[in-house]
Amino acid sequence: MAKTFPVSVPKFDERHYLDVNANAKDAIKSGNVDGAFEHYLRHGIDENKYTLIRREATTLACSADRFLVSESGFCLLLGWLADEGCDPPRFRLVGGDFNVEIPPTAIFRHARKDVEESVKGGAYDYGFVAFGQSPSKSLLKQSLLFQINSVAGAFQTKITPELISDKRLMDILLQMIAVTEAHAGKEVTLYQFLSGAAGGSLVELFRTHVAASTASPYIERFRPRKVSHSFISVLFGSTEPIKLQPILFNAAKVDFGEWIYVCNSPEDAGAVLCYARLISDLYDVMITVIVLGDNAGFGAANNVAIEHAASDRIIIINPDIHVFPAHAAQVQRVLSDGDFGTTLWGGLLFYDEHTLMHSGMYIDADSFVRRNSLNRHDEAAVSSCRLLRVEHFDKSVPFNERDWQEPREVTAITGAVMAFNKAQFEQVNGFSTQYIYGHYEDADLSLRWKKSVGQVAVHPFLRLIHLEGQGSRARGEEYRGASIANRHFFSANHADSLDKRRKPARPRAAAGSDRAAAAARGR
Amino acid sequence: MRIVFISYLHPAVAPGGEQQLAYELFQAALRQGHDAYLIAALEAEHEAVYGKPGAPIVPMPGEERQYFYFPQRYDFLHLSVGDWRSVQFLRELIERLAPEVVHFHHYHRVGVESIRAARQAAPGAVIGMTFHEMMAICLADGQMVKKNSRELCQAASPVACNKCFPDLRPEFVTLRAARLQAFLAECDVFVFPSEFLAERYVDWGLPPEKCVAIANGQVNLGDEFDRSQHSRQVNRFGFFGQFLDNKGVDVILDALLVLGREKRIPEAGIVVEINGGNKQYATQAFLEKVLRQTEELKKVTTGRIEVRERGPYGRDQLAERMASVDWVLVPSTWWEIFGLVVSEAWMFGRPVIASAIAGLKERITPGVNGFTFAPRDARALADLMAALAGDEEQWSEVNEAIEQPWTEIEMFEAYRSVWEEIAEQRRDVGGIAVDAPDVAVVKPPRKEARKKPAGRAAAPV
Repeated sequence: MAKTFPVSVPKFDERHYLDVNANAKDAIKSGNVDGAFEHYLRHGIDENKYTLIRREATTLACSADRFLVSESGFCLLLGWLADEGCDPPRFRLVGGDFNVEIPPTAIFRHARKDVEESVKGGAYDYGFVAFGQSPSKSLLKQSLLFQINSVAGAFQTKITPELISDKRLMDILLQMIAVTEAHAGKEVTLYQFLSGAAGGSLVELFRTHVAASTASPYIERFRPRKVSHSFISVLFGSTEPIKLQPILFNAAKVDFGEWIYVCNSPEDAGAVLCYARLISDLYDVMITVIVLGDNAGFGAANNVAIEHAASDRIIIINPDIHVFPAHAAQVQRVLSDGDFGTTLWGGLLFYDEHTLMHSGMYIDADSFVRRNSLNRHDEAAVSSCRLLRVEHFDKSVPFNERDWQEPREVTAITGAVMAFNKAQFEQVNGFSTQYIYGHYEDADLSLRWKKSVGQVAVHPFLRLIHLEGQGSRARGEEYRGASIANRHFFSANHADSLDKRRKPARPRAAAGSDRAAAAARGR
Repeated sequence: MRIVFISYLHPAVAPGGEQQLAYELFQAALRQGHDAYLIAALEAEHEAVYGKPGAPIVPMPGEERQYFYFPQRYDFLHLSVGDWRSVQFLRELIERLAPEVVHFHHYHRVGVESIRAARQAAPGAVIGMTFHEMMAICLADGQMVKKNSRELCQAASPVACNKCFPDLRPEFVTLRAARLQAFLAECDVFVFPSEFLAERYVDWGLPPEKCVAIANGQVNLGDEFDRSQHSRQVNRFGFFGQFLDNKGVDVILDALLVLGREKRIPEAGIVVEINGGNKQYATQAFLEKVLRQTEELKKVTTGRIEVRERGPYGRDQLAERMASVDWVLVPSTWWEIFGLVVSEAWMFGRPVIASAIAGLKERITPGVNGFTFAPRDARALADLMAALAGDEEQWSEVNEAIEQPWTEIEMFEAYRSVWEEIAEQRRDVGGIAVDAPDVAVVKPPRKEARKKPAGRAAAPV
């Protein structure tokens, strides 16, 4: 007990303390403390195990800014708490006859500049976001007491929920994920949150939304016919692609078979249906429009489209993919070939300046370390994390024709262009709907495909222009938040994949057993 | 020959150069004994007056062979009609008319999809398109004048267009052009009233072998006019046209200010008559500039320069307005494509003083049939005005050299010869399949006229 203030507690009863506190006995036995009184001073007071010393709990400055409860019983609590210097507080919702504990893994703390300015400056994360799901849809849809307790202080207030839709609640959480910063380090803070209970609830919330959005899609086929392959594009927030793509592919004499447009923004359905019929009439081509109830995200929308495709050969084409007239004949030959085999094919994608934009992807990682600063030293907190990064080979590299005469096997391919057989896609259960809206589901599919179906390779003659990011209007912060969350989910799912592929090796030529690969080489 | 003309607007509904030209071609075709029709795509605001419930196309009230078309879901960025029903009605009408020629005079409001629809409706027909501006190339209303600086744009490019339209990414410009060109590829021939415009469109991506220059013709309104008549002082200058930013009224006023400040006003003074309509479409900044110039002019010219604003005029007033001036000023500050005003001045024997730009530069040979000055150069215009005011000899020399501009009949015959040549060559190769019109297109033998417009059709350009 060197170098601490001397403390005396005249009424301390050593025998009684040891009777009520078995840990103290063990500590003495193991030699960690010299006696019951030392244990009491070092641990007992903080643990409140012996009520000899009475004290008035400090009231913590706190605000519960928003308490949101969704239709399916997901809840989101936003606010701030001035608990600097306190031990980790417990968050609890108290109803008439029930208590709901909010576990630490369902909470992340973030910087609040406004609180720092008015309460206390400095690098402390006052803000909190608590998120989870109630087992009952209706349990939290009532006024409750919100309690925060630590040994040093407490706070309690009555809160009344704002009742909102699942989608709105999810978007608000995703916006928070996107815009918040943390003095302790955003990535590490989020890692703890998203890899724990909250991450699971968020995925569940998105899946609930997906199920509602895809339950009864509206499907209309214009000039239906037997086709040998189906192009699929997912539209969101823009009708530009349907005005452009079929016209330009048709002008370049690329037979797209059936072009399925999945409309993830039902407010655009009228314009999309009108253009689909117009283009179908003008060029006598088959266009299918699938309108979903809401934005179900890239993966789920493609899953629906593939389920309804008129052919077994699928080509996923982002709305911002276009054709080079100079390479159109090569693309047409790829389409005219038979089976895609068991390979998940990607394309060689170019910027419109004709430099390469994508020739497959590899997986790398970034490490992040917690910065404690004024934040408490919490041994339960994650001190560092590593997040996977999906990188494109050859981004902005000049194209060399000689380098691309054969298929190349790669770790993953972008979802901007994917070609495969429907049966193999179904074998891996399609795109995972764990990934919210978009991002990382393509790499996830690639890794799962490689594990259970066959190779993933770039087709040397599937050459297209990718005007990256130009095909949709996903401009809200919720989409950025989704991308951040998806990176955490992808990292959690495929951390092992990285270790095997730590160094991005140059892609190697694809195995020759595949029929389409062989055909490609034969040209 | 059965011909369907398709225009943007109709001169009876809204006056304007393109629709006037389309209408006069249509009238000329009838006069020459052809079986002609005119379909005019109107603005949405006209539908309430001229439309009929549920009918995308209606006959023009009180007229035969003329129709008003009300396309729905018009998208200006893509010059596109996104409504299948509108396009279907147009296609069915063309199908019913069974023309040998379908000739478009615009894509704005008409929608580029209509070209494909015309091809479906009349697979064997010659399909043509006359360009009257650069709307396909330039999103700034086809003017190719930079939106912020008002500088002349020399060439459209993804980056240059993005500077004018920061909300549109450079890639959009590329895609938009590719889409428009895909639809335009259905045409057998592209007609331009000037070489300048043809070159702009060829640079943009149209195949030169389909391009031909044919000067605009007009109904001659000057038959009864005494072309040799002029004022005693030969000091009366006239501006005719739209009172809009790019037409250069401000350049005239600046030139007058130069003369006033430098005390170079001829003894007899100078009179300038501004005959300009559609002032309501000019920008506020432009109108304020003109007002400032006018006030300034009053201070520096001590009454020896008289500027009269005579307002808009109808074609029936043209002779009277032209009689009131000796020289016609065409000081356009944009790429004037053809300059119908030049034709109008020439109908009445008025020498033209014009910006040496685009179609104006092509048409005017300085000292022979008019005079030119560097575009936007008020001092150069001032020098010309000072030199020419009162110079009766120069006026007479040019007056005598001015040829009568092409009439609408001559223009129509030039068009007809192009259509017939294409049809004839098509017959030689056994016709065109509807699915591949752009593959089998026959080269018009007059294609070289685009570069050197010395042929029948191009001579007056």
